[in-house]
Amino acid sequence: MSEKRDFFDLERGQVLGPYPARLDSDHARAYLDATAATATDGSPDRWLPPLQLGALLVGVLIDAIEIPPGLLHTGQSFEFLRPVAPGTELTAELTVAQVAERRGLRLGTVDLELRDAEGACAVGRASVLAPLPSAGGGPA
Amino acid sequence: MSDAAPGHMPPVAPVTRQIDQALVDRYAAAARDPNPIHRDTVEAREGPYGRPIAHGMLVLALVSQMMTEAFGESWAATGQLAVRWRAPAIPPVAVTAAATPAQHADGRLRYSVRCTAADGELLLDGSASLRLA
Repeated sequence: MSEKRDFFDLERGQVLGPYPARLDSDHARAYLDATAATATDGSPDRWLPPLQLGALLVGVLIDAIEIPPGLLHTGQSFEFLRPVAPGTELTAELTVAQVAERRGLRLGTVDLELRDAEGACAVGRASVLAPLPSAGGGPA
Repeated sequence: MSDAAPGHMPPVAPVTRQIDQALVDRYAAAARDPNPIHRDTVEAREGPYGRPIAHGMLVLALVSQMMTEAFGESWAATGQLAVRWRAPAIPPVAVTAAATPAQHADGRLRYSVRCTAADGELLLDGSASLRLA
């Protein structure tokens, strides 16, 4: 992972990545254990838990930016475009869709895309906010 | 399945999980999330809740688990989620994910989804939809 970006310096249209990623069956079982989930027919042996792809994208976002005090993840959307087999070579890319400042808060929305060899396999949008440093910067 | 009124959509069974700090710690490791507000740290103790809170994505995982149990690979192939977090889940807490049929149009089933704490507090709400194979 390259150097982290300051959340308050993100600009609309800025692209972060691409970042290579891979989730194997052991990762999938650890994810199921960590979410108190049970294996289902086909998952995780044939296809990864869909939200694990989302968690991977959010993890890439967390890795890509310096988390300011009080950052809140307020909203999230995902679209799963096809099942992804364990061990698939993946690429994550993030695009800053919107930034705004309102009432002492910095709001950001970031588009998330995960690709395999066929193209996009999961996409999403994360909404986050954090107090502006000049607003005190304490945890929200 | 042809388009039909929400009342004729397949029911989705709710999922309840106990979220305790051990589970949150396992999720932090599995998701590689270093945010100290999810662990027993000074930041969590001095934060607005006075203690660690569960990851929003851990709460959301119950929704995806519920949809996976109901629809299997169709959820992995065509699922869509859009949610907003309304309150933090503070461990230990039993969280229930539930889905209510909302719309069946253009071959797509859409459910209103929500996660609530055992005391009824709304933690998350939004929608989940999919197209059946």
